Parts: sequence; structure tokens; C-alpha cells
Amino acid sequence: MYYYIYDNYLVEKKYQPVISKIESRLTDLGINGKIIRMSVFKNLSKSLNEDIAKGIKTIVVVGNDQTLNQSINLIDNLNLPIGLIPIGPNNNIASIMGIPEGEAACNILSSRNILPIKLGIINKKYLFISYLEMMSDGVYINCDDNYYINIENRKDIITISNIYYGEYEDKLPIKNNTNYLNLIIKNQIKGLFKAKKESFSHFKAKKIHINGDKSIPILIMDEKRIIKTPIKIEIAKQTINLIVGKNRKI
Amino acid sequence: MFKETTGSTHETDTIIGPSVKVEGDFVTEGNVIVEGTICGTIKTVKNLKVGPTSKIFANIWADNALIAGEIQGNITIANKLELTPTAKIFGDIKTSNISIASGASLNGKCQMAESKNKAVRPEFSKQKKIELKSQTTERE
Repeated sequence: MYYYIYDNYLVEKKYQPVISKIESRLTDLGINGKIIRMSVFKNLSKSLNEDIAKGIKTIVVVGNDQTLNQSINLIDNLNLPIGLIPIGPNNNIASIMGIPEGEAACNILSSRNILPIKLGIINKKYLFISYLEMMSDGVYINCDDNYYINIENRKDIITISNIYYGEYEDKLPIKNNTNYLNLIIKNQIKGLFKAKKESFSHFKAKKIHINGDKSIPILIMDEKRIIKTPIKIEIAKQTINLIVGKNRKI
Repeated sequence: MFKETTGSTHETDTIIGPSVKVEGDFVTEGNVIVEGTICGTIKTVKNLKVGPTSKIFANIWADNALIAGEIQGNITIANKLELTPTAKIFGDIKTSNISIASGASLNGKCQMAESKNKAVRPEFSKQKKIELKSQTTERE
């Protein structure tokens, strides 16, 4: 049995034609199932995990990167195959995984090409699949318990990623390998009359400890969270079995 | 080495930028580019490139190295070590192949790995010493 998690934003009228096309295609393929919608007011976790216990064999996330990230934090049993139907903007994970947008993603679902992906975890609680960002102000970093990184500039941007996409992709030697985390530090010097200068640092690590004097605001895939230090970010024991396309980049 | 890959950093695994200071044992299996400061040790089984603005207070182990910055510590390179005109080394070097550009400064011992295969000194002690002074006086 298939179980579909729809993001809240799909209620908007502009997405209705795409959704109806997807639903009819899923019925044609014989992989339609129960639909549950994410909501700010509803705690999905309990009802979702009860339904999974009743014998659901595949979970499909319909939405974008954030929907997938929220879903993996709701599901207790991550051994189940997870499908993704990308709709709308912010669907970078889908493009890395070779999943086309909208109706075409249904064919990928039915082919069931499964790839295990290791997740990142923050303070052994919050799982993440792609990246998080923070400012370097008052932050001390320890990698793999071997070396410390001190950042001289307070306005540097720190990015820690599991699966990476974004502005540094062409500038840095980032390979999407989920066995380690990429730590990127971007330094930007802006002069009044000078053109801005950028420099980057890039490290690979399995465990990253972040210490600081105060709580640190962290952006996890554009979702802001304030986390108290010390923060421990590492490769999680949990993996997700993501249904991917043939044109994946990982 | 690094000369072939300049312009593209895609074969490099670690970059230590100019705004960053690393302290501790930095051990990696990939290529390393250093533009910042390091205190401790650096070990890599591949190539190391040290930029002109970098300062390293560490002992270094690498396969190949191209050094343009300042290093205070001992350097052990398995293959080739290249010192550019801006390089400043305060420590001993062990390598099998070295290239020192004019302007580079090296303050320490340099030991080449092939020194074990050096030529054997012939035993001159058994031969009679030639007294040059006496020979010249006889001619006169």
C-alpha cells in the first residue's frame, strides 16, 4: 500500500491541475493510496506512524525539499522506501536524484529504483537530508575530535551539508557522498570602492562539534531554528531508501 | 602535481582559506590547499599546496608538495618538493626530489631519501702520500 504526504502549500489553486494529473497517472499505474496533508495545526507524526504500522509499504512525499526534510523527521520507521514527487520551486534534491517534476515523477515511483542515503543529524534529534547554514559569529568548530577551526571573521557563512547543491558547486570540490559531511566556510570582504572578494574553505568530516557562548540561529533548508550550543552534527545511523531516477547525480 | 590543476580545484578535497586558522592534527587522504594558518600536524597521502599568504607551524607529511608560504616545522615528502621564490622554511626537510627556486629561503637540514645509496669513499690511507714539495725541489 502507498501512503502520500502532501505539503500544505499544494492547497493553492495554481497547483490543482498538476495534482489532478498526478493522481490520475498514479491510478493508471495502480500505485494510488491514502493521502495525508501537512498542516501547521496538526501533529502528523502519531497518525502517520499508526498508519505505517498497519502495513504501509511505500511512503511518497509530494512537495519540495522542505517537505521531504520534515517528513523524514516525522517517520519512525525509515526502512520503508520513500518516493518523492516534486512540485513547484525549491526542488533541488529531486533534480540531484534524477526525479523530474510533476506527472513524470510517477514513472520513477513505479520503477522503484532504490538508493540508500545516509542522513545528517543534529544533537541526535533532528535529521536533515541536505544542508544547514549559520553565521560564524562566536563559533568554534571541532572536526572529528582531531582539529579545531577558528574563524577570524565574524560574518563568514558556515554551511554543513550532506547532499550539496547551490552557489559553491562550481567553485569547490564538493562531491555528493553521504558518507561524510561537507563543511564550507565562505569569507566575503566588501570594500567601499573595491569589488567584493570571496574566499572559501572546505573540509570533510564525519563529526562536527560547534561551540559558542550563546544559542546559534541555524537555517536548515531555509527553515530557521535556534539551537543551544554545544551543537553536535554528524552522519546519522539512519538511512532513507529513496526511490531515485536513472539520471541521478549521486 | 598542482600546476596541472590550477584554475580548477575539483581534484582537491580540503581547502583551508585565508580567513581560517586550524589547530590540531589534520589528517586527510586527499589533496590539500592551504591559504590560511595551521598549528599542529598535517598528514596527507596525496599532494599539498601551501599558498604565499599561509603560515604553517606544523610538521608536514605529504606525497608531493608545492610550497609558496612560510613553514615552521619539519617537512617529510615522499616524492617531490617544490619551493617557490616566496617560500620560507624554518625546519628540516626529508624528500627524494627537490626543486628550490631562486629567492626561497631554507633554514634547516635537507636530507634526500636516496642518500643511503651514496658512493663508497675509497681507502686512500694505504697509498703513499705524494710529497709535492720535495718533487718540485729536485727538479730545481
